[in-house]
Amino acid sequence: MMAALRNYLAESWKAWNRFWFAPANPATLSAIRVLAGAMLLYTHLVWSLGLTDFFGPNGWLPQPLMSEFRMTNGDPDGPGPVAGLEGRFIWSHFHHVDSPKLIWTVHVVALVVFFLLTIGFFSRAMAVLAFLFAVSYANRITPGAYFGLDKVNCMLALYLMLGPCGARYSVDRLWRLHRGHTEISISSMANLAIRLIQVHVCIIYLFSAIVKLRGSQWLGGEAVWMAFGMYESQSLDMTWLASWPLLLNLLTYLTLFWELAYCALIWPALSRPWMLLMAIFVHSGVVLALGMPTFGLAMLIGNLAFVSPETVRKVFDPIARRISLAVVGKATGGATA
Amino acid sequence: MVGAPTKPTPPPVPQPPAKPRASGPPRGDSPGRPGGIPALFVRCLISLWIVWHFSGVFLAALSLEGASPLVQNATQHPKSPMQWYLDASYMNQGRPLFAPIVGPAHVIRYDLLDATGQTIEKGELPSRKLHWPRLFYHRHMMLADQSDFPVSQQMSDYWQRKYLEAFGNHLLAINEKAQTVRLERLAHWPLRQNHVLEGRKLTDPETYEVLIQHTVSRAALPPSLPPNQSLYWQNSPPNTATRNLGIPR
Repeated sequence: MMAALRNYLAESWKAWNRFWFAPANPATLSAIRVLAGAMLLYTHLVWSLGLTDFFGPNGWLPQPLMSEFRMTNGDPDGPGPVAGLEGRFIWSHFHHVDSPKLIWTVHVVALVVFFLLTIGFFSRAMAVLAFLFAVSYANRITPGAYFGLDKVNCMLALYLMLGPCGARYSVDRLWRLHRGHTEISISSMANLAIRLIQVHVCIIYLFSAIVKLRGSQWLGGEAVWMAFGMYESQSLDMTWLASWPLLLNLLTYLTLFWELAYCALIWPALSRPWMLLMAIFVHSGVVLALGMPTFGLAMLIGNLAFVSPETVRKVFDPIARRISLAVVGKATGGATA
Repeated sequence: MVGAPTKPTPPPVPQPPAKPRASGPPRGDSPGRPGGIPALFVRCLISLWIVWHFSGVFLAALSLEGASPLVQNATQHPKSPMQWYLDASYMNQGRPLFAPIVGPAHVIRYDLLDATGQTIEKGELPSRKLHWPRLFYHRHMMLADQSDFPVSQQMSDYWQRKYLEAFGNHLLAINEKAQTVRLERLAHWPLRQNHVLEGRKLTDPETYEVLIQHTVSRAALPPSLPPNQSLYWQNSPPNTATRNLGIPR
């Protein structure tokens, strides 16, 4: 009995190690770095259009209001344990920066960090800074102007800094090769970072489905129409679907089932391509019709964690070869790249 | 070594450029172990962190209205290390990322008035004309959506007024000629399918419902905002944290 238990525990530990720590090719993680870095850069570049409007002391969301809201969690007279501010760790550099010049200076630094992360220059260090900046911006506008994009951006930045995200498709790699060093062909930490993204994406979809099941709109098959029928969120007129109520019901249930099944069916090799195809279908709908291209793309970047490094290389290596040819005059994205 | 006899330095021999290894075992990101597999001790530590981290992510996702005391204590109690961790890593929303309930959208409409009471500018949040690109539009859409916290009707009114007041102050700050700003927050309900088939538009006036109106006057504004935002964080009132942080979207 004890031997069987010991054997079981040993096998479990082996399986755990295989899942989290088996060395993997860092191509997928590196591709995620490029895309997530670009998304972080774009997200924060857009803040430039209204930087002091959103983050300044006299902006839409003044600090006293945000502070009161957070301190009371929306209920100034509500019951609950009384505690001081030290109980929370909602931090942001904007809590300490007031002057527009300083706000802009820090903003430009943040943009440079996101750009360097995208091109993979000091990638790991930039990933750490990018995470800190992303959380700092998001905390300042929560609640008030945040949405799912901020959550996904922070999630991706968090996991990027754990693995060798600059192993490929980066200036770091070109520099490594230029100095005669060999490149990182497999990495245990790359696998760890990818596994963390995979599990987190599963949790997102699972809870998204669970919460949808609490309401009547999804079970009633109306939710997709209600999204299409909202003028503010609409970027493509889909009201022609009003003549196709059964199709709308089907789209609603398909989305619900896909989200519910994702965490189970994304793992087997047989069902994974179908789950990823559905991800592209659903998020493309969000991108095209519901006016949230950034959020839809960010979720697709998260889904990229389920694409094998070999497939990623087929797409990214030729592009990397061309860029390196154009930048340093020789191709480095070949068979050994 | 100091004081050691020195030899004349030989002329530098040209070295062939170093080439990447073409063969041999695959190289990992840390030397000594294939693929940089961490030592057992490090793997144990990382494993503990993984369990802790995903417990937090799970509990945060579970902390919806009506969550059990176990979940509330773990993720929302001010002294909970889990809450500290979730706050620090911005995983603290006990709300789903996707809009679970497709409710009405919200719009803030405002009129800026001069000293004589004449309207000098009208506007709304979000505005398809003013707010571009789409992400910028979406941020303004969130301003209109998240300017409420439906704990109760009384609290809803309280927060809507607070947010409208902040919006009004901002509008007055960037429009020097304006003396008063009239704001209203509206719910914009999605049109039913049969209404679309009848030829009605998504912007049909009947689909808008005024939730609250508020007026902010320059004369009633405080003399000036404190110079340092951080003062509010250092001298804040006590926390009565019992619920989630934000509005779902």
